Amino acid sequence: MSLGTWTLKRPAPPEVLRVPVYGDAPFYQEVKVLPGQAVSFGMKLAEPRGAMGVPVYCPANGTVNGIIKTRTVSGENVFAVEIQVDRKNAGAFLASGESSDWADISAERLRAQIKEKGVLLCGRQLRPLAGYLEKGTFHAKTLIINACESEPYVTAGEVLLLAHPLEIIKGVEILRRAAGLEKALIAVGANAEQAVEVLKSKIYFLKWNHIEVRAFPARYPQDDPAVLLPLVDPFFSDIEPRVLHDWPLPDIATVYAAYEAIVFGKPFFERAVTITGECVVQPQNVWLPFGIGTMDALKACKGVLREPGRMLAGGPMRGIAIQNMEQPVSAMTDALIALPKEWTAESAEADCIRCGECAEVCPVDLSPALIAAASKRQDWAGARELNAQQCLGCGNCAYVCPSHLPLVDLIQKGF
Amino acid sequence: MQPTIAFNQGAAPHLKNEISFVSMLARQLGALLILLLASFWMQGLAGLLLFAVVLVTAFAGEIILRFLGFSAVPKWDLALIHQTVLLALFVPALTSPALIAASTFAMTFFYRASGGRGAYVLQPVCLALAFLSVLGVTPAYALQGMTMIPSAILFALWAALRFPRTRVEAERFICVLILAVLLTLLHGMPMGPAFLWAAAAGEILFDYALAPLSSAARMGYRVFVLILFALFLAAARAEEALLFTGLTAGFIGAWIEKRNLNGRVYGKA
Repeated sequence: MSLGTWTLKRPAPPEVLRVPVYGDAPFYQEVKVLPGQAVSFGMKLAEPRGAMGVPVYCPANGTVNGIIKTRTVSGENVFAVEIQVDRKNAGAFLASGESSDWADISAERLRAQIKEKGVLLCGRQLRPLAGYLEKGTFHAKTLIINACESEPYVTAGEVLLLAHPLEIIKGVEILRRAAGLEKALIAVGANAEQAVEVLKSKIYFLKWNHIEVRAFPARYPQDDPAVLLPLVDPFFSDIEPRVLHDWPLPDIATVYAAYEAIVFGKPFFERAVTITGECVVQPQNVWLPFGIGTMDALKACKGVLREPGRMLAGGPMRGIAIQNMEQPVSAMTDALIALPKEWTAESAEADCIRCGECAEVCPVDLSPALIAAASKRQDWAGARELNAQQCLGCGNCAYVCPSHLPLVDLIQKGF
Repeated sequence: MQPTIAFNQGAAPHLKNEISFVSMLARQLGALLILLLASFWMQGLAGLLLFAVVLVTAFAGEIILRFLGFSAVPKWDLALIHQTVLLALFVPALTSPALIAASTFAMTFFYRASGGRGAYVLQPVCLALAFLSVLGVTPAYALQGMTMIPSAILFALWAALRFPRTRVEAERFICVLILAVLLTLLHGMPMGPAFLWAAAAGEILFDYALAPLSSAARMGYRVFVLILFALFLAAARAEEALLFTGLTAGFIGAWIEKRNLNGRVYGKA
C-alpha cells in the first residue's frame, strides 16, 4: 500500500462524524434534522434554501447528537451535524448500475441533478457546482479542468486520474454539456505524464476530439489559476494575478463527483484525500467522508509512527495547521499531512541580505523583500504601490528566504 | 501510535527552509575567493589591494547614502556585506584604485537608490558584459558587424516571450535597451547591438534553459559566468565600459524607482 496505489480504500466507520453545513451564501443550506433523531446513509441532513442552495447528505447510519459550531481542518467556520455512527451498520453506497442515458439529458437537467446530489466545486473556494455551470465565466467556450497538483506530497487527483481515467473523461464531458460549452481542456501537470498518456488514449478511443489534454510545467504553484490560466490562453495574461487567483476551476475531485452523481446517482458525501507525511505509518490515498475527524482519518493509515511536528490540511506550502484532532474533514480537504518536527522547525529570523531569491521565485514577479520591508515599517501605501495585493500567498518567497523572514505574513499585512 | 498533538502554531509554508544564511553567504564568499585567486593570478598583489579599496568604498558609500536618506531599510542589515561581495566580483576587471572606488560607489548608489532592485537589474548587465567580453577577446569580435540581425531577433524574441507580463522583466528590458543605446552613442555602432545580443541571449538562456535547474545549479551557473566575465574583462581591460555601465545603471535604478514600473505593468498602483 503506498501513495501510488490506484485502489482507494475507505476507512472503518468512525464513532462520530461532524458533517459540515454551510448556512450562508453561496451554499444556502438549512439543517433539517434534530438532536436525537435517527439518520440513515444517504439521507438529507440539510435542505437547500432558495434556487442556489445545495443539500447535504448523511455519510453513515446513526443518531444525531446535536448541531455544533466547529472549524473544519481546512479552516472553514461552520455548523456541523454531529452524528453518533452505528458502526456495526454504518451503510455504504451501492450503485444499482451505470446509467448511460446522460448523453441525451439536457443541460438544465444535468445541472439540476448535480445540484440535487449536492456536488460542490472543490477548488480554492467551495461553491455549488450547478451554479458555477449555469452562471460561471468561461473563456472561448471552453471548460478548463484544473488537474495540476503542484503541492508537494498531494497525489489524490493524480491517483484518481490513473485509477478512473474513463470516468474522469466522462465526468468532464458531463460538465461540458451541463455548462453548454463547445470544448473542454484538462490541464495536467507534466509530472503526471502517465496520467496524460492514459487520458489521451481514452479520448482517442472515445473519439471525443473536443476534449483536449495538455501538460503544463510541473512547478509549484502551477495549480494556481493565476499561474495556470495565462499559459492556457494569452487572453488571461492581461488579467491581474489576484483576480485569476480566485478564478473558479473544477478539479479532478469535482469532475469525479459529478460523474458519480449523474451516472450512479451518488450523493456528494466523500472525496479522495491524500494522507501522508513521514510520520504516517502507511501513507496512501483514501476516500474520506465529510465530517470524519483527523484522528479517525489517520487510523485509516494505521496511525503515526511518532509524534508529528505539524499536522496539516492541504499541502505543506499553503496548507493549514490543524488545531485539534477532532476537526472534521470537508469537501475542501485534499490532503492530511503529518510532518516530523525536524522538517518543520522554526528558524530564527535574521535580517534581509538582499539576495534576491524571493523575487526570482515569485510566480507573479513581485519583490517580496521590498514589500515586506514596507510592511515592517507600516508603509501600507508603499506596500500597495509595490502590488502587495497581487500576492498569491504561494509561500515560495518565504521558503527560499535564507534569512527566514515570514514574507507571506508580512506581504499579506500590506494588502 | 496516535498523536497527542500539542501543535500547531506555524504559518505556511510549513516545510523547513533548507537554505541558511550561512550557506548563502558561503556560496558568495566561495565565488569571491575564486575571483580573488583569479585576480591575484592575473594582477598579483594589486588584486588584493583593489579588493581592499572596494571594501572601504562600499562601507563609506553605505554610510554616506544612509546619511543622505537613500537607505531602503530602517536598520542596519547584512546587505552591505552581500553587495560588497558582489561588487568585489568586478575587481579583476579594474586596475586603477580610483576607477574601482568610483565604480564601487556607483554600484552602492545603484543598489540603494533602486531600493534593492539593483540586484535584478545588475544580473543581465553582468551576463551581457560577460558575453560582450567574450566577443571582445576572441575571433568572434570580428563578427561584430553581423550582430545587428541576431541581436534584433533575440531582443524581439525576449520581448515577445516575457516583456508584457512581468515587472522584473520590464525593468531589465528597459535598462538593457537604454544601455545599448548609450553604448552605441559612446562606442559606435557595433557596441550597442552586441550588448543587446548578449543581454537577450543571457536572459533567454537564464530564463528558459536554466529555470528548471535547482537553485544551487543556477547559482553555480552565475558564478561560472561571473568568473568568465572577470577573466575576460581583465584581459580586455575595458575599464571605461565598466565604469560607464555602473554609473548608468545607478541612474537608471533611481529612475526605475521613481517611475514605479510595478504599478504600470499590472495597470494598478
